Amino acid sequence: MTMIQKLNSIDVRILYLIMVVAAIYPLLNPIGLPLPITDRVRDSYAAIDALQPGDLVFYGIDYSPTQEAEMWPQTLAIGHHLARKGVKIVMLNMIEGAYRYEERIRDIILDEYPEYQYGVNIIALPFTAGREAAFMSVVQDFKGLYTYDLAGAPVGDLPLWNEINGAGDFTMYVELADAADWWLRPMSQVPGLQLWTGTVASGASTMAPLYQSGQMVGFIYGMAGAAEYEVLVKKPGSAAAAMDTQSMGHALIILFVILGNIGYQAQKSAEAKAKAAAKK
Amino acid sequence: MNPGLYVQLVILVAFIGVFYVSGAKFRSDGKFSARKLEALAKMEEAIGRATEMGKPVHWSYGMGAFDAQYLAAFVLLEYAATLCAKYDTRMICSIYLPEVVPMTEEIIRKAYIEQGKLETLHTEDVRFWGGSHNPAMIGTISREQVAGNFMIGSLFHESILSLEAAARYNAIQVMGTSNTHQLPFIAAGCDAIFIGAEMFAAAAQLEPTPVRVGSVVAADMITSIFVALMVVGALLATVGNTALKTMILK
Amino acid sequence: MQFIKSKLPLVVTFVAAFIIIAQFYFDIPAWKTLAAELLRWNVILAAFALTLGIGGIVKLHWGRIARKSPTAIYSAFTLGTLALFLVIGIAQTTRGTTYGWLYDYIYNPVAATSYATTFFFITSAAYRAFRIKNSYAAVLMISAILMMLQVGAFAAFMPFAPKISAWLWNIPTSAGMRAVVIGGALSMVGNSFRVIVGLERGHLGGGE
Repeated sequence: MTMIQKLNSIDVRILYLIMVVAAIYPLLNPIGLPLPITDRVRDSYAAIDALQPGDLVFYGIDYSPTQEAEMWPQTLAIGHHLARKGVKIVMLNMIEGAYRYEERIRDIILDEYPEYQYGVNIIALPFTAGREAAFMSVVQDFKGLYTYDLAGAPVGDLPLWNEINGAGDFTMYVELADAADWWLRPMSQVPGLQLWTGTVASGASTMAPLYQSGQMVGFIYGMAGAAEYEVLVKKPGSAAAAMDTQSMGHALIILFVILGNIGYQAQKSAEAKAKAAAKK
Repeated sequence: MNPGLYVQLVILVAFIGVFYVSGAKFRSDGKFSARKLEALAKMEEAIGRATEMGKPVHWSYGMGAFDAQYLAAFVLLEYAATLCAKYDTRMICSIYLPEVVPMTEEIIRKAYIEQGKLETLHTEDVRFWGGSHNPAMIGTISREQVAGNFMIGSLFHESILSLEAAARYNAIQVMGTSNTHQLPFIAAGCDAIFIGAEMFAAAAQLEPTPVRVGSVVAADMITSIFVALMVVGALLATVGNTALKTMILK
Repeated sequence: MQFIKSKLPLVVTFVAAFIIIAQFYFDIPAWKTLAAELLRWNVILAAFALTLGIGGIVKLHWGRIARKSPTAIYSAFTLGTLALFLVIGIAQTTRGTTYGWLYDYIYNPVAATSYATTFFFITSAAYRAFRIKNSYAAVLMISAILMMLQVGAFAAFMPFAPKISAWLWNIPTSAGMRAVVIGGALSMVGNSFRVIVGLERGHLGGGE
């Protein structure tokens, strides 16, 4: 087998090793590769930027710790943006592992934005099981679904809770979820509610048609989307820092695909030649 | 009547009507033809290969929430379990949702009873993993060196993990989901796949009954209506006419 | 007994589904109230389904320990961890500091690591699967490369890449995905209808 033919069957452990080095190096020695902002992320930013102070916004944190690397930077960047706009935030969570992120972003907003007071302009509601059924309950009977907030305090004691009549009072639903459309089906029934989502990179193909058709006003995905949003809100964080790694990773995957194909074509050609020789 | 739902109600009623009419038609003349699904044949090939190699096959529904995809997966599980019972091949099930475990056990038990092989059933091969589904699934595939890998249901990122883990052992892989975000991965890596509606149509192909045939024919007919509406709508929208859009949103 | 096992689930399914579907289409306040109550019950049921999971885990791993299987030590570790989280969660609730520590410093990193293995698997999948065996495979490979070039630094060095990717995204990808979603959704409607009217009983262990 020639060297070129061997490219067809490289031991994957060698590929893994190269990827690990390519991933770790830029984290230790940042390269500073450029990060242009795409039109879609800009438009999504503009959608949240158009909110007015005092608008009611749902902020759904619906991802598990497995997606933390991609989704927490989005949570942070969008949380800062919402807080800067002075909107009233009601946080929801319908996934078992997400309550810690809800707690964290609530605490960050309360710490960094003195105008935010818990119960007055921000509420965090607890985990509700049932996924789509839970969202349907939010749409049908939001006030009836919750008795306590995330910290265990009665929601009836919270001034913001008493201002809300139902889901119809809200201007926007910002959902951070793992490529799930089970939130979109019920929430799209609320008249006038704008839908905005952040999702993982692999979920982009599911949500893209819904954004393209105008059913959603904003849509970002993956670590790249988080990085671009961090730049737009002027709070570069872990996603922007990891973009060097992502760019290197993509470059290497493209290289491996090309090398694999070179080897594959060389192997096919050699087999064809051997077959032709055997026939003679 | 709630606003904006007239057309939806008409379509639902039409669907139900076509369902019953086509089911009755099948009951009377027995005629039903559908495109051959390669994935069904591949499932049988995978179980056959596993039998020859003396290796088990692996089954998983994925990590999605319980929805209609699970119902389609149950039919295919029954098919696979029947073949496994027939050929005395182990089937190891990795399960994420707890509520699906008794259903899975019941389906497999029924398949083994129908084949008269109840004594060969390994109940410990139906394994609930919960949150540790992914590493447990990879571990199971690697330890058992499965010869066939089936993942049919509501799939998320675990599909690529399962794909690559089983590819190490050259397992024949058949996956199916309606989750569009996983279709590219499974299409690139599997030997055969069920794309969306094919999972549901597979039941009709395995064993055509008036119920299953009615369901497939109704879905196809409504799809044809949608295609016609899309063509007309696109043409009208191109010339600036929004009559169809207004009518549908009524 | 036969009625409870086979007929009662069908009746409950039909009645509950009819109420929820009917209130979606028709504005009848009594039905809306009933539907909202049913959905709340569903939320409670879903929470209780999690306890089924505990039973399943204990059954599986206790069986391995009892049979002294080679992986019994891992099963013991699993059950021990389950017990630890349960005891501390019940004692402190999820808001407790110990529970929070366990969650943030044990569960979170382990779960994130398990997802991070996708990084390696994607590499080997791309290397293995994107081979130009025919024209379709060539289109797949070129599309995949173009989509990867739209992200991050590539977009700065190759300004044409995001434009081509955006076109691929908005036109062929969205069209294909919409078709799959519509087809899948209609089939789901059919399947769900069969379950609601009791024509499909696969989930109950029966056929039709």
